[in-house]
Amino acid sequence: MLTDFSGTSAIIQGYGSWQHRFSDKVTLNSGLHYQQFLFNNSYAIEPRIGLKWNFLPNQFLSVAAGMHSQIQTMRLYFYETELPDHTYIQTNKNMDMTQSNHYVIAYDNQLSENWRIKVEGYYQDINNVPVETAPSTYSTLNIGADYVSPNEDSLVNNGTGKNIGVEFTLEKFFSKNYYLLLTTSLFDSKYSGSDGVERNTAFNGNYTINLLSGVEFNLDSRKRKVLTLNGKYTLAGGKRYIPIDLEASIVSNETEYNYENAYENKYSDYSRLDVKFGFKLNGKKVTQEWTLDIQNILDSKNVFQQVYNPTTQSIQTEYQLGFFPMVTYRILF
Amino acid sequence: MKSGLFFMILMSMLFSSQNSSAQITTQNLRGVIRDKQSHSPIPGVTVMLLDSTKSIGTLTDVDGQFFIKALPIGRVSIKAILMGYSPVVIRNLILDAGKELVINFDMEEQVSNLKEVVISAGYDKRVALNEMSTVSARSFSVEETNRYAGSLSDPSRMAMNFAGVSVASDSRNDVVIRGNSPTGLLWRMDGVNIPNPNHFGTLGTTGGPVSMLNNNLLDNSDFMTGAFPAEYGNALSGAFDLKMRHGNNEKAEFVGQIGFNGFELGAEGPIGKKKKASYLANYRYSTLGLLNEIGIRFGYSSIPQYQDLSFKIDVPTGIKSGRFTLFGIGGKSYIELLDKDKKEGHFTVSGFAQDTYYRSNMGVVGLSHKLFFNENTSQTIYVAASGTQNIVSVDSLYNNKENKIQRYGNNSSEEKYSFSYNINKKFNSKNTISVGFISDIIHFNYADSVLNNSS
Repeated sequence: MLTDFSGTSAIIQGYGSWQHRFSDKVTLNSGLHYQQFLFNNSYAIEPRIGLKWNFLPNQFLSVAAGMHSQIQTMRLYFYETELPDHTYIQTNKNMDMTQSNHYVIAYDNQLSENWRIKVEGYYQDINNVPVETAPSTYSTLNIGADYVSPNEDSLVNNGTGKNIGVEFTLEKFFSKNYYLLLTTSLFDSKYSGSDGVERNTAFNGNYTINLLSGVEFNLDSRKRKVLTLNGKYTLAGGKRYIPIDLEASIVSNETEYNYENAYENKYSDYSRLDVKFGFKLNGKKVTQEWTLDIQNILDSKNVFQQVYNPTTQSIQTEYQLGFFPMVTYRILF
Repeated sequence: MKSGLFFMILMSMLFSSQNSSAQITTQNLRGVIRDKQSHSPIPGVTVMLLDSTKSIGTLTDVDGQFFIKALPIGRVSIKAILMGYSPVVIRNLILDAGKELVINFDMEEQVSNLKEVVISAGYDKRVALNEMSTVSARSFSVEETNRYAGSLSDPSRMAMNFAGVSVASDSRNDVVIRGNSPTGLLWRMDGVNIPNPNHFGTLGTTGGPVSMLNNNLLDNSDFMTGAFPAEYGNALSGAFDLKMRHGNNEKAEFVGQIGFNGFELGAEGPIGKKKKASYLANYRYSTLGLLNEIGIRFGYSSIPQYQDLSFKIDVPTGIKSGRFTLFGIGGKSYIELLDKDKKEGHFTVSGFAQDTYYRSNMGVVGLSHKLFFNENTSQTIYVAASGTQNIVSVDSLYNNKENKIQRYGNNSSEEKYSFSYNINKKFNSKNTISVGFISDIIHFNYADSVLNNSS
């Protein structure tokens, strides 16, 4: 089988944005974006709008909405399918753009000089997603996080998806020798393929929590020697996966998946602690820095994927990065 | 172990006797202040130091530039005030001996001349640098990127700490925003939409295991996670709007770095004697690749080899003729994943012995010209060329390891030629309009072959 295509096409985009400030406290941002893919003349006209209101001193309420479209991964358009008479046709060349409507509401509070909180809620409604003609679980919404390019033929824009979530940020900007950042994301990401069944997307981990902090110590009064210590802890929902059909895999001697239960389950939760030590030495004209960055210092076992091993005829689990120290030296002059 | 050595060096540093003179080490602080809406420089702004025993202050000149000479190193906070503008406070900037601190920021004109003075928290991380964005956006500074543990000086990995972002895999930096596929992300550098700036990136993806973006070269930039303004198109999930900083136009400076990620050299400085134009360049070679080149063998074939070069040349030619900026990023990466030396059960893809050769190249060059017709109206013209190439070859070893068959071959490339235009006009303190277009001509070449008769 062979794909060999070379050619030329073009994308044109035009936009206009208008910012209107009703007062120092109320700002309206509006705009319009247009894009067209000249290869198949698919196009999109997309209004965008956002309103920000400084309703109390240091407190902001914002709402925004916009239509967003994207041309498919370029090479998908040119994927060639062999017909029974051994000629090739491009079954994907008429694909339309995927279209997503974003709705966001945000509350922002500058609690004090260096502390702030922010809460955002959103909903995304996705249409026109390429899926297979025959009923299946395939959707381009699950592409990515992979070294492999997608190769699927006979795609039509009949898929849908939706993302809903709420995000929380507590941040203390660097002052009094330390900073802090806590972010929490709770979300639900769903899609429907050509089989019409609503499923989790491959990226629906449901939650992510990050806690970061760092301190800085001056080791002498002239601030020539500075010691830093930074930490980061992440706790997140595990990866969604397509389960392996072990019996079928043993029969065919290669990995066979149970697509009916695609992305139904997650691997166990992801947890990782990173720690970074730094030492900075300021000379008269030269600054030197030594850094030791230790990823996954607790050596937590986070599942990366499960694969079928034909030799042992069993399912084998592969893990993400383990304990991993990195040293860096830097000189500025 | 390496870390043991590190601590020995560290301890020797901490307890070494101070043989340098008792003089206080100092550094200069300077920058340019611009109007948030019109982007034109603001003259006459008072810039002063906070928390300082001495009252040190200065005024911006006609080009919006301020300069505070010879401050003691350490942390410094500044405040900028001008009648009719909201004051700005920027806290805890770091002054080091080895590098001048250049800090550029915006001030926003007030709609009404309120008596109450609202002090914004500086170039405020709550809001994006792009004035048209309302929600789901924040700016980030390189200082933050360098500070966060586990970020590996990579903007993508740094952004994974922000709300709404999750990690797809530890070994790669693909950014998953609000449950969307990482392919929905837009990369923009200095106003130009650029291809995936990651080593070992595949066509159509937005991430990779190693970033090509050199953190030493980035200025404060924006990261957006939804409902972005009209100037960002062809993206479903989010956008990185990155700015490469200008080189120091007064004094030559150098940086050298060695670490797990690479061996790196950077230089910047003024071009010519008028000290207006500047250059900035940075080159990196993978440390493991370099050690392999000079003959140190790891007894392991999968050594990632990569190198990248980034540069920027900035030439302001005056009020009448505007400002020319040229930037470029280029990177090459190569890896061999060979099973021929491995035992069964340790193959790259379980159960199948195969040798994979993977090569990926990316390059982009962009030229922009910005011209102010008057202090409230400006236009920018962008011309850019970029290319991405993947070459993959997979040889099956099957039963006979000596007699391999090429099972898969791929040689794909995309070249893009872009021309874009933007006009920005601030009518008054209430109304600003930004209009433009982006046109991309793309040339594709996709060739792949798969051998079907699997024996």
